[in-house]
Amino acid sequence: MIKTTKKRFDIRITQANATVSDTFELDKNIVRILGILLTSDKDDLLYYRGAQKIEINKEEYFPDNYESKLLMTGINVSPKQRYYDLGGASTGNGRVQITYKDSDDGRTVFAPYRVSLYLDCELEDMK
Amino acid sequence: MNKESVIVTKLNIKLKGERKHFQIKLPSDIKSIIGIECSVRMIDAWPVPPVDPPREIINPDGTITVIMPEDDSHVAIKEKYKANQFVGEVRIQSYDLLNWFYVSDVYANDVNLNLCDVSDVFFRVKEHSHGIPKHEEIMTIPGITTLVQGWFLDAIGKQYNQNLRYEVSIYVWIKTED
Repeated sequence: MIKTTKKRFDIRITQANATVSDTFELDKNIVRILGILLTSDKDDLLYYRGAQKIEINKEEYFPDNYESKLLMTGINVSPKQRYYDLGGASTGNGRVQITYKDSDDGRTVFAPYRVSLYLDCELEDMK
Repeated sequence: MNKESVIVTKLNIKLKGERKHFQIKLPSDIKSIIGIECSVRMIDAWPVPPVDPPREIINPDGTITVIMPEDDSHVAIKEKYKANQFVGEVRIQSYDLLNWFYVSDVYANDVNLNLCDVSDVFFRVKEHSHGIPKHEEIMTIPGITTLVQGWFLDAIGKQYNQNLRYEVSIYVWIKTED
């Protein structure tokens, strides 16, 4: 039986203009990623300063310098439509890598912040 | 099987009225260009356009309440409307086509998001909290060329008569054969 689940992975940005890379491992029974979403505890910093590369199963889905604001949605969007549709990306080895880059922007002042990567996943129920 | 991917090109603008020419290399297995998207990241603090002064109301107890023009019900809605900051113009041409296939004005952000909004003043409407998802402009530009070219022309530096530093990102969405 196919079910859907949401997963959240966090990285911390503690220095201005830093690049932070992290790899997360999905559960073995997750077979596809349906959608992707970025949020933060300081939305304005993520929106104006952030860019990232995202790889799933070593395949690049978003290249270097792809701005975070293109993967964010505000509260004016209904909860069911907030995820960026990946069309069911195969998880393969189950590894998701994010390489996040913070860059100065004239509209913000840096403070340490959290970047959360949400994944809308499809899993196979083993029962 | 077809596969969609995106190529990101960054242009650094430093001078007022600068026209930056660029070329974008596409993969050799390209089938078509399916979308274009632009965005701006500001490096300098940008000049703030002049704003109307707030209105002061003296309360019966002698205290003064300051009401900003955007919260003031006495200010007509049409006066609250502000033009978006026009940053520049971008044009892109493919070697497969005779003319430009993409011509667009680039804006910094939507400054009228909070127009007619009735939210509390402590939860202001901002792009990062209330924005809608951003999507590319969908198009189909067939062709097998592996190069597109274009230029970006600064407008905001000219408007303020200053050398403003900012970065323009151009996203070219393509369809390739897997």
